[in-house]
Amino acid sequence: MEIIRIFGDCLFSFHLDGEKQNELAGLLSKWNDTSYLYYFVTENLADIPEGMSVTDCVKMLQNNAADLDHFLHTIAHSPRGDWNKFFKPLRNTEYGLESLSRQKGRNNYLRVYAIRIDANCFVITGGAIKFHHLNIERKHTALEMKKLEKCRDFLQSHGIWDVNSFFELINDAL
Amino acid sequence: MTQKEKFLQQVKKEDKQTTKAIRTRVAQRDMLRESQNIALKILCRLDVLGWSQKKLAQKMGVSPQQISKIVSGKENLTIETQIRLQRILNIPILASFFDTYPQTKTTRKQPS
Repeated sequence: MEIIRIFGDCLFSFHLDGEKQNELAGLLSKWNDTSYLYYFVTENLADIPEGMSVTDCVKMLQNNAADLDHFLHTIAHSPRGDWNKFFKPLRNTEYGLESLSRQKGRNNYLRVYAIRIDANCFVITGGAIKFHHLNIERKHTALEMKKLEKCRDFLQSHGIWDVNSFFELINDAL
Repeated sequence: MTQKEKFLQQVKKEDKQTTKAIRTRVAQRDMLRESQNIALKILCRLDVLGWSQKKLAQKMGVSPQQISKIVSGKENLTIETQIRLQRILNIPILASFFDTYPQTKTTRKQPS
């Protein structure tokens, strides 16, 4: 398990063992792949919004992925690169920020999961297409929650609780 | 010096491929949208016909990997490829598809 720098000192991504790409690159690649979206939708027909056809659902997800690309591109090229505009606490019940807060960035049905290190510093752990309300109710979203916890455990096992200890880990890895 | 400052001075390892891929997709959005529309038409048609991607590859005389690339919606397809897909699958991809449709006769109203 590695942490890869994506945008400046603000956005990082986990690269899990055995995976070809880091989590962010992998997500964006899948969500921009029409055949992946088509088979995902046909396998999750019961979950797609009522009255929506497979074709319309795939087109909607394609648009969501294009919007997400555009949004990430815009933040990355803005002078301040404010990633707080994108990430919000995963749980609506989280009042006040926990250490290594679990976060989500969303664009309609697409979710990018991350761990907040500091005010404008996040590490992406994965993501999911989420049609349904609760993450634990579907296999693919439950898997992403497990990954999020695994990545959080990794950070904690390296003594990372705040921004200084996180950068200490990055320095040690270089 | 804080750990963050040390980090900024020393970090050289960066994944530039992810940002490059995003930048490329944003720049090529119009082409990708067309490619995705074609890919979706093909996938739907394969389901209707009960064909696998492998069967389409055989009919097209290309490798299954080539079909896999086409249905990913990431390829800049040549007109030649589009014509062959249109002909083999009998789906509208190019405007020429409609040229083969029987034209409806319209009668022009004579001025009174």
